[in-house]
Amino acid sequence: MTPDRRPRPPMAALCWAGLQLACAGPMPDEKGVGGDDSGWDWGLPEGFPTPPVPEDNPMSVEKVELGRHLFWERRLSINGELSCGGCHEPALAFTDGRAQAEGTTGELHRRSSMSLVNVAYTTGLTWANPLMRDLEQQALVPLFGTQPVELGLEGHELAAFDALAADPTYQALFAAAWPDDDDPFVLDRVTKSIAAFERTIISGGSPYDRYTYGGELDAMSQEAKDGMALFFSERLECYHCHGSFNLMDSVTTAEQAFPELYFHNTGLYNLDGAGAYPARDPGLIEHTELAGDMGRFRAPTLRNVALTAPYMHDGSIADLDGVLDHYAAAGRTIDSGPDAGVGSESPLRSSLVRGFTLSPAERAAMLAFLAALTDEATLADPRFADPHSADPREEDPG
Amino acid sequence: MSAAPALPAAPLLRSTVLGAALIGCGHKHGDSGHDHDHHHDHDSGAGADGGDGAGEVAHSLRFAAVVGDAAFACGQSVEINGSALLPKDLRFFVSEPVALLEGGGEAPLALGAEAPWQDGAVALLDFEDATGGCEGSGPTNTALVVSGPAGPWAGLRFTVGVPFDLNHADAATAGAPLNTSAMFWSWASGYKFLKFDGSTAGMPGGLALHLGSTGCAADASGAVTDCAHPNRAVIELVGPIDPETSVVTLDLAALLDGMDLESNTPDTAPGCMSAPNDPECAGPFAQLGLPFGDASPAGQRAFSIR
Repeated sequence: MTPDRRPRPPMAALCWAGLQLACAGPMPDEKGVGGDDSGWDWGLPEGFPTPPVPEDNPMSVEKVELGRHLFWERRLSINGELSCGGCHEPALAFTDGRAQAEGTTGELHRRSSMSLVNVAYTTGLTWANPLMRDLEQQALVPLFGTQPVELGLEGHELAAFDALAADPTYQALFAAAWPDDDDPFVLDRVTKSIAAFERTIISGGSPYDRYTYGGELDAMSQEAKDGMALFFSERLECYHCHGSFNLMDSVTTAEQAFPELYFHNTGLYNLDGAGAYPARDPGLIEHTELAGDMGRFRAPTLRNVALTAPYMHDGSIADLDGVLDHYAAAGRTIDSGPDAGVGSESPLRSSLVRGFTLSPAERAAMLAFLAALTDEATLADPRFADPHSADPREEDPG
Repeated sequence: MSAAPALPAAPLLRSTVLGAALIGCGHKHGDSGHDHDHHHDHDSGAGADGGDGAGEVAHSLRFAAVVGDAAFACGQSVEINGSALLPKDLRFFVSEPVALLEGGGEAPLALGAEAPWQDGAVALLDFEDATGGCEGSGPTNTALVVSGPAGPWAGLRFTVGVPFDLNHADAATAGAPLNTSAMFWSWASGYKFLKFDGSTAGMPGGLALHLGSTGCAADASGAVTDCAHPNRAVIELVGPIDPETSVVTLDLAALLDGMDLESNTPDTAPGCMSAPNDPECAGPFAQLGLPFGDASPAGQRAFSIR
């Protein structure tokens, strides 16, 4: 991993400049690492590469449909109250609107739920885990983790799977998705199906996409276009960590030989003048145990960012104005309390977080650009909605 | 507090000469990559007669969990470090058992494939019976089924932990006992090697001792290549062992000696979840003979032969 060092080409900026060929999809004869040869129709937006798919979990319509049901299945929680979708609501770009996620027993997660939009391309799932590479593996954490309890299914999954096996709806869904299995009601089939569904959550229809990739010159307002120029400027440096078609840097595609994975310290905290983050969540260092990894987290996609407040790994910034303040100051200053410190003086802060000054008009332009990253149509797509009730907002009385 | 129950009498364990049938078990043991070492050690062992399998005996090596002189029991509050501790769970993985032989030398003990508790490379010992506040699977497992030289032995060595390759393999497709979701350590792509959970007056919400590998690094594909703190505890018990009657005993009071059971360092896991900066880990790590911080490991004190 060589974080922060190598400036990445602003792919979207190149497209914007008219070099559309640089952003074209894969050549037909390229066989990607981890590519999917199932013939799955991704319906990819213009300019999007093919997502990687584990060789042992090819896509299928039936598997994705089963995965959608399981994603929204509250019986996969210890008390029947929470599903994956409970913390990843489509209307909020698959986040939950909370600073800290809340598990099925009411326990608060130390971190904020991440968007699942375009998660098929994400390297290093969750906020700061270099080991977490595919969605199948990641699903085990919310299902079985105890620190904190998310779905709380530790030691109880067999009973939950038995309940699904007794349900005629799931009998049909599992049989269709896993036709060669004698007994598909097992953990591996559950996690693989959920992962396949999650890979289909692909968003590329925002005004930004329609302008940049689709050639709709009026898809974005002039104000948003001004913000886009600022976003991709060396003055603001946003695109270094939020570049690529997916507006983030830790991206894997089927065509790439090696996945990209980066972690950054943005100066959100500096408790001791030496760059310390609060002990409750010090970031990448928790895995690597390397001092320099204090406070380093993976940059999330900025797609639909206007819908994913509050912001940062711990939801500690309420709105996008506050996020701009943080980066403009080259790190956040907290005046008092246990987290007090001057982030801009952190020796561990990324050199790309340099600070800038925005005029009121420029700030408005930035906010307009960030709002132009919202893809309403995808988020409202019935393919992602809760299948267990006609209206996903309707609480099941059971 | 009510009187602690006496240890149940050890059942009479029969040893059976299995002869050539054991060769198959030895091969199943081989996934960890250590079988060749084992055979080499075996041949050099004083008790071996030079032929694979011949003279080897099946043993059901008994394990027990105690608190001082009392048996560990779900729902049975015990006094440790001056705290009244209510246990909720106690399970641990054992791998790579080796008999230390009289007159020197050692012989590997082949772990049989005994579903659902052993898969030929690793065994799960499980002392919770899902009663009295324990939140587990119900069935217990208190014996290690191995084959090796007839007793008596001069000692026993085993690892509390899952061998590296198995530890970082796909948990969702693993067979028993590595499909035990309570032992998953998914955030770190591994397993809990040892899981103790309980509660005290000071920590009514619970405290844990979860042992597992930390500081793991991955290659470009995400496969774990190395862990800075493997945290596999190699337990060596020297002293006469009759594999038919001796009991390998984990004393919870010794394991948790030196661990604050009434309060937790803020912003760390409740109890110890193997974080290298968690002060509550210093005690149990020392008791397991594991290095922690600047402390160099001394001998383990948690296990003994009784």
